[in-house]
Amino acid sequence: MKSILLIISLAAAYCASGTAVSAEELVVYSSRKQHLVKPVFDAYEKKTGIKILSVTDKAPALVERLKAEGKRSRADIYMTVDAGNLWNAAEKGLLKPIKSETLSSNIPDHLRDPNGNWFGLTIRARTIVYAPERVKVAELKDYRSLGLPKWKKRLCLRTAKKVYNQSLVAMLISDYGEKEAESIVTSWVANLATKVFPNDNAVIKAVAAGQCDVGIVNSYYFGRLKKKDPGLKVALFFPKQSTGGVHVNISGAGIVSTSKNVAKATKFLEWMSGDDAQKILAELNHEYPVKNGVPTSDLVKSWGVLEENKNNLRQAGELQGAAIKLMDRVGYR
Amino acid sequence: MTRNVLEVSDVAYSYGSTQVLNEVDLKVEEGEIACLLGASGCGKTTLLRCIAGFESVANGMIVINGTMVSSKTRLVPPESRNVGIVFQDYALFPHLTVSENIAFGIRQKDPESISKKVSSLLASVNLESKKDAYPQELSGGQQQRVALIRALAPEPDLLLLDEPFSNLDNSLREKMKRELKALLKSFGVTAVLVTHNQDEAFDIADKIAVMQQGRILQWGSAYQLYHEPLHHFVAEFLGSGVFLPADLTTEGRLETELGVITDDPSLAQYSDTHLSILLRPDDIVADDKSTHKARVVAIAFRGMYQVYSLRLESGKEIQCFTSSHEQRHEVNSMMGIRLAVHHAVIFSGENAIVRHVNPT
Amino acid sequence: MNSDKPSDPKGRWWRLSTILIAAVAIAPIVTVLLSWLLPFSEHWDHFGQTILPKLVVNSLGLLCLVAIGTCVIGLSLGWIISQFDFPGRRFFQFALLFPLAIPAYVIGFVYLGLTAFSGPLFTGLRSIGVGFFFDMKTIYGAAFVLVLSLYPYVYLLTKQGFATIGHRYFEAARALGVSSSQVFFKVALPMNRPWLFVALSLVGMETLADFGAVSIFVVDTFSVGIYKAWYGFFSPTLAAQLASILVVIVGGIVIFDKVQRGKRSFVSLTGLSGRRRRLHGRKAIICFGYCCTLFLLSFVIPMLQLLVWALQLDAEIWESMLELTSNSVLIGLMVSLLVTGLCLLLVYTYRFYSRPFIWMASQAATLGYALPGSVLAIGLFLPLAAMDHRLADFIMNLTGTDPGLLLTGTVFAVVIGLSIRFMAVGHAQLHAAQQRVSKRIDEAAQNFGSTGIDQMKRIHIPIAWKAVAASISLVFVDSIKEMPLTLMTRPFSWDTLSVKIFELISEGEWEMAAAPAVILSIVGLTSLVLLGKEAK
Repeated sequence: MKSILLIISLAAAYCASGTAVSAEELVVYSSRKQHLVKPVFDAYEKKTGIKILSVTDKAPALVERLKAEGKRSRADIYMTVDAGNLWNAAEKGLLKPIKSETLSSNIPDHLRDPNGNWFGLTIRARTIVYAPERVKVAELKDYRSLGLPKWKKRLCLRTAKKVYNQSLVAMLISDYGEKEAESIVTSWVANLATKVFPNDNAVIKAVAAGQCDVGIVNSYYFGRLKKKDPGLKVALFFPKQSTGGVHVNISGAGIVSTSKNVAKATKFLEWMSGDDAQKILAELNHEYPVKNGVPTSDLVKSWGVLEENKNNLRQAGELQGAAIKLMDRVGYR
Repeated sequence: MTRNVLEVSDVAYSYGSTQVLNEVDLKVEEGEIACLLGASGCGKTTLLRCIAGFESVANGMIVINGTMVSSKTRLVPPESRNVGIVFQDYALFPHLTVSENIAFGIRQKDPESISKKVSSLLASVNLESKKDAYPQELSGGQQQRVALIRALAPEPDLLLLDEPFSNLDNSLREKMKRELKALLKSFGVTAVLVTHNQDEAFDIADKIAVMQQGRILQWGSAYQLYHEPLHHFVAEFLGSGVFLPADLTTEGRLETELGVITDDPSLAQYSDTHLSILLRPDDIVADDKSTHKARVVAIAFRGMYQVYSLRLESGKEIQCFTSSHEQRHEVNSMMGIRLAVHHAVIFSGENAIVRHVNPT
Repeated sequence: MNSDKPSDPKGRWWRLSTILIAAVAIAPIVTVLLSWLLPFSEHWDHFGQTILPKLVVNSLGLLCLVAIGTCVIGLSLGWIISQFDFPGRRFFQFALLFPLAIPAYVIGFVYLGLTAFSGPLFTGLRSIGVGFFFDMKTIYGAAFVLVLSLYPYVYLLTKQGFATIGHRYFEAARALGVSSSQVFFKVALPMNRPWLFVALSLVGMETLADFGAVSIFVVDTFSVGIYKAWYGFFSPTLAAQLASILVVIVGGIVIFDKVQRGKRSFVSLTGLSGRRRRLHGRKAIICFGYCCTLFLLSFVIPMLQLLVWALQLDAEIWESMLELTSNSVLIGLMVSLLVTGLCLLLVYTYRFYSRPFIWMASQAATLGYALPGSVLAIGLFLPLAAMDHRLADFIMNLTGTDPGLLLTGTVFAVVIGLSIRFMAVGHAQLHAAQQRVSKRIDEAAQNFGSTGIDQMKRIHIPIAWKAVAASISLVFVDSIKEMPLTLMTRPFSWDTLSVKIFELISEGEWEMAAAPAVILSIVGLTSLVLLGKEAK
């Protein structure tokens, strides 16, 4: 009986041991994968002594958690990928609008919320991959042209359930209007070589293996695979500014409205948008820094100049629902 | 002065809208072996479970050793009644060895005295060699003996046995009956046994309660039940017998087809009613000189004796025992018989009205 | 008959704790059901018209495929392993449970990796000139993987069933002129129904709630719709409303079975297992081959592929694994012990002190299994946080300082959440086991003064020890595999193996995910092997 009591009290002690947050700490609710942000957090701690505690989950789950914790939440910063998720948190009043000269000058207008609720920290380009053995660069133009009949049975896409594609279609709606966007997506679906894939890596591998000739993926997935296997028979294509530019999305962050460390958190975000952090972030995952003049990784540099679509990413969030419904309607799964 | 270990008075029990027990009264004296006898569904097992405390009573009360344990408002839990029970399927704990099973209910704490007690109990049923076996490894008879001494181990005031022999084969049953009785008597334990088999009841019990439809029809010794049944059903349930219609004259003369049974003026009060008299097969003897003849319907050879089924003139069938050495009568032949009644029981309808009638 | 007893003070405590457990366990479900009181989402029309019919059809289709698949495989294995003796039987008896150690989504990504157009199977075939290709990203692919990962539930429970029913009935049937193969269909199968039903309801709930495997195979099921409502349309309310439909369906199935099974008793007293019939020649080879094929498909192939991937990884990924592993193991232990303890209480309250509402309560306590993990997570999080706020307010009033949230974001929340999720797993094992024990055994024990806790300790836990061990082991395996709930309720900077796997596969890093997946599987396997030892 004694041993049972001992076990129970030990277990209770273990259970209750939530991590205590001290003054020299910031709590980040993050949907970014640990291994993609940990090095930046470590660098900040090294520089300032402020420890960054993070909990990761899918973004919408974090939003619910923030809502439930309310004023007693210990979260200071909400960090996630995809502008839609940031927009959603701002819509629900979970983010605190802030004004910061540093952030405004470091981050281009279209990559942050006009009201200062959230800020992009890295750029992720969603672009076209193709098999150079079977496709000439001249044949490629933009996202819309992937619906042309010549790509019949040659296109590979990732599932529409991934937020990246939802944002892409949302931005198509903002560029072309809903009707036109719908006909573009319809023509993509008609051109599919095979069923949609669960992730971008699978799309790239399918192009490499000859299952299809073109696909749409985030550039850093291509970067990772290319780094592992430089001989990969896949190439990247960036649509030009003249045809709408490359669809970009961001990973970004905002300050949680209930945070008791707003000043400290702002400092942290400013640092994140600065040269040091931007460089690490860019290196970590073959993404693009938001700050002008920060060098990209060598691999990314080799892909050429990124001419990005300059529409404000807020629309990715606003139009996300419409985008999903559109894709549901035309049978893009 | 013997005292009553068990007193059941006016107990009723119902399950849903079915009345399972009704107005049940029973008293068992210390050291007595009582038996609840009846066909299946008569409520005998339910009564046993009420005594054990597994079921509560809807009315009446049960007193064990002077303590009221069951009533409409009170239910002393089984574990507090100091009553032992042997289940029909024995319910030996499959995960415990024989000695662990027996030790289960022993209240002493000291392991040495427990093991001493277990050994002596095992010795009393000659099962010392099986003490480390598991119940599954024992034969049916051995399982029963273990169940019995397991129930006796806590030294209960009262032992209840639910159809203790029903899981045994015939030859084993005979042996176990003797063993059980000897064992119960040697422990001096008061016991209540449930059975549907009259032989078991006769062999083991000091007193028997015959039950039908939730009531105890009669409560008494085997002799009383057999020879002085109070109830038509009791008479029929215990052994064979016929009810021969009888007429009682205003002078108290009881006449039947087979002659006058008795002539007793004190019976005169019952005249004018429709009566019958219980005749057991041994009340009728073959007598070729007799003027009463009956037709032989069937003959059953039983070794020491034979049983004739005879049809009387009125069409009534009766039975008659004869020694098997006696001269045989063929089926369909006529056979002379006469009454040799030692005492007669007179029934009016379902109930016996006169139990002791001395024949003339 | 028990219900006629005058009230028994001890039983009151048991019943009270059962009600309490049920209340805690259904709090998240009630929260989810309450979502119907919230304003309806504007997206309902779109859901109702465009996707819901398809989701329902897909879910039902998948459910049927998986139910039939696990039923055929699980039952046949249960039958041949319990009735016959053939080479390898002793090994397969436990080895066929091993797939339980690998999460379905892991088996899923292994098979998808192997059978992708760019994967080794078809690349190999093309290199020798065979252009044949089939795409596993279909409902059949998802069903295949779910069957491989879920059949052990059916196998385990029906095997117990066959052993419990006992040979005597099969012999009786033979004597009545039923051929030995017909015995299976005419006697063994119908008598096995209670076990089969419990197993299939576990499989069904697991299938309906599965998100990991179906999303890898891009099959749009009901749970995918739930995620879409939440993650795509940012409407947890809609997600909860959709999820509550699942709960109602599962609840309906449970009640339906209880009602139509009625009072037929499936309890067997004898429990004699008899001798297994020794097989020779062709029959023995077929049985061996059958078990072997399933073992290869469901365990060896996925495990080998994971190992191949894992061994190619850099050393650094392994460094973080120690902490993840210890967190996983601790959580698994706490949850499995808690669940088993609570389920024992539920099962034996029902046995000892039954009332009609006790059955309802214990069934309600196991409904958490029917919800997709992340929906259960919000359902849990809202009441937990609300309670936590009250607690904090109370302490603040008392002491003047705000203690912050004490329960949310602690391991406590994770343990409670996982326990609610896996009550059904423990309950299934223990309930089936107690049904096998004759009520006379309780009465005999009670007659000797052993009741309640004492009776459980001395009689029921020892008799049902195999089931207790199975409950601990299976809940352990399930809780270390669980991902969405752990993800949402865990403390800061506190990760487990399954969380790591989630992070990596959601980035498409299947090869890297092999590292935590291999460790997870080995930990799970260890617990299953221990179970095997206990069960001997």
